[in-house]
Amino acid sequence: MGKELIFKTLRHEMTEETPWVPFAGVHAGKLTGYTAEEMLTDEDKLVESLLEVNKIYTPDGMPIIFDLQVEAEILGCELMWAKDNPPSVKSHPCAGEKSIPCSCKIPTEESGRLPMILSAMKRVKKEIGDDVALYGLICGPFTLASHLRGTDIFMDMIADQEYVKQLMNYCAQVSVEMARMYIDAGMDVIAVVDPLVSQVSPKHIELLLSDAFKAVFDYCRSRDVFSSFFVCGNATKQIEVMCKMGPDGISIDENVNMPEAKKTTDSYNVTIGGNIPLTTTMLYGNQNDNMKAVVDLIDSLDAVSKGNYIISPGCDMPYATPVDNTISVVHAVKHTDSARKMIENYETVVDTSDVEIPDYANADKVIVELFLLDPDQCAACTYMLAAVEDVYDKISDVAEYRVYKYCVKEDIPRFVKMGLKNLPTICINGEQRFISIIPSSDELVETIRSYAK
Amino acid sequence: MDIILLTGFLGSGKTTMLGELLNEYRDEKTGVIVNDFGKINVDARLLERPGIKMAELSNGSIFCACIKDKFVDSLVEMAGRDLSYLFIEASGLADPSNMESILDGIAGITGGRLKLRGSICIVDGETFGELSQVLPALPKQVEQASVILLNKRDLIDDETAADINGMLKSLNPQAYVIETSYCRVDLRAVVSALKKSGAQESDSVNTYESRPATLILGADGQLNKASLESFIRSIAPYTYRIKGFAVTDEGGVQISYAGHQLQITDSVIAEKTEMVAISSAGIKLLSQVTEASTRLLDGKIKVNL
Repeated sequence: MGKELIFKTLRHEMTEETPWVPFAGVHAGKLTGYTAEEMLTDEDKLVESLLEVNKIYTPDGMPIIFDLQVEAEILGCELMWAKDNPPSVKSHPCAGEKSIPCSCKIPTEESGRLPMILSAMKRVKKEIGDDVALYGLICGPFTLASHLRGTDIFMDMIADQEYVKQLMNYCAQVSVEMARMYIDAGMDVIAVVDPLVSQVSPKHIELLLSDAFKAVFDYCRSRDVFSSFFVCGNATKQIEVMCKMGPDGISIDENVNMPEAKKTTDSYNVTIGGNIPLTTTMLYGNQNDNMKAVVDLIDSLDAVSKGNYIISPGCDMPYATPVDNTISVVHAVKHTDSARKMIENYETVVDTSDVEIPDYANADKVIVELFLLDPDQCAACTYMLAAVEDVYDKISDVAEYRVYKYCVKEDIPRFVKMGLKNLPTICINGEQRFISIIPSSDELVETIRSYAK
Repeated sequence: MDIILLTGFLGSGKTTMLGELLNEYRDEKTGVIVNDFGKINVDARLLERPGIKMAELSNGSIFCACIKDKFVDSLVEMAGRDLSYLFIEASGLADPSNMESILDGIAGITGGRLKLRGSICIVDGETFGELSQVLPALPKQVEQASVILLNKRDLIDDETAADINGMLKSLNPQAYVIETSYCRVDLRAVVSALKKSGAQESDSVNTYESRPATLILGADGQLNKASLESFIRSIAPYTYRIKGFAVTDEGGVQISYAGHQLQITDSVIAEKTEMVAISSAGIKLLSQVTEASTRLLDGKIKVNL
């Protein structure tokens, strides 16, 4: 039974089959014909969509809602809604003059969209909760802190560490309350989703962030509920400090070499999850591409050590992911030998012949190119774009900037031709300067100006 | 109706003092408002007595916007009763600087019946020197007092006592300072000495933002008493205060930790294990509690949010 398979895996026991957890957030709405906004705000549509995910993708575990803005909305952030993405945060109540939100704003069962979410959780638990492990996803405290504070938080981490600690302390209290409510609603696994952790050095994580995360994982453990730590971006350097915080599992995206990371997670007895590429494979690939990606992934993980992993998409699946691609993934996870035979000798090719790289040396201005995954859905990408936009006034005399998105099919060959391995990345005159790390405004301006003639 | 306000840091001896006052004034018509910082009101349980009208205000300081509305409701309700004295025990981090303005604000409703006789501040001799530098509410409590009890005198040396006396004089030259242990004083003399302090009214430093985190710790069934003591000592460095009750294999106990002193005493009113811990380390206390509970008590003590 799927639920028991997830439990055994998170207890680090050997299992007879590979566990599969599709991160069908807004994509669940595609299965039932609802927009992202509809299924994230309407209980009946949400429940209908989730039951459809269960029917079509036969998961061992699944998230109930993949929306990192639930808490931010309750705490006063304005949201911008979209048809095929979770909402994004467009205002930051603690930006500018430093403040800590009031304790009275810490969410309760009546706050924001929580009545709808908690009710949906209970309904889905009743329908399929005996067979499928249900994941309650909460916004991690650091990403929440950045929703409240905006990009100022990166400068704060250098200039006012005491304030960051206080803000993290507050956000940890929010995260713990959210975990409590989701556990009370029947969730089997609490996933702390914090994309921005990949932007912070391990040293600063341990200095400023770890206590907050550890408190959430310790709370889950005290409630006898499993926990998982989801991160996006190139979190290779952060894996070890994440393990030290005490989650039962970690889930990573395609920016991290999963077999390599497994060597670290195995040493800490932490389960690793991931990391089927979302865009090139799940969204734009074909069924063979998807089966090959899964077979290769499983083989490479088993080469490190058997078991102690969960196959998932790298992150929240794009809304328009073809259903048959995901079905192929399920087949490859559950019938790996059969899939292996089907894709023997199949290779994927990207045509880069039409890509024109700018003549950086002779351009009038410094060319700043942002290579992003999806600035609407990926928090790290959102903040990296904001970092450049916020300083544009200070550099527009010497520089211009361009944005390329991996979620746009026509942009993908450019990423390949530029030789990019990790996203998001800022290139300046063709050189990869900021890879998965959001620079402070001072550093960004100084670096850009150093290229000016 | 004379209001006598008791202030003082967590564990300084306010509840002990108030208990003594209620015994002393048992033949008078007396009301009590007990303000406890945690979500459960431990002090109210300790002070319950027949014939005393009591109101409990929990989950914040009565001078903070958190529960000031409920405090005002309690004052108005008490004003309508036939009482001679109203004792108010403020929570340990309360800043009473706005007490007069609260009473003035409701004078129209209460008919001016409520008069602030004065405030007695209990200073914890062991911790005042250090904590008054860190917690702005503590000096404010001293400034607003007309009588100050320098308590736990038996636990500090003469030099420390002299230093603290100097600090108290500098904060409030007019206050009457008495050195005590277990708040043993001539209570009637203390109450007679009360007068309004000369300190300026001001806004309280108690705000939502300055509230420290509190955790409620609970357990089902019995706990091994020795292991419970080890547990409390293990988490104590991360707290300002721990207080509550527990059910152990040696009977019910009352727990009080403040400063560096832990007292576990037999209690006949302990019905279940429930404690309040006020954190001095933010959310980190939660991790310390779960780790110590797992290590020492098989995970029996849980954090109840």
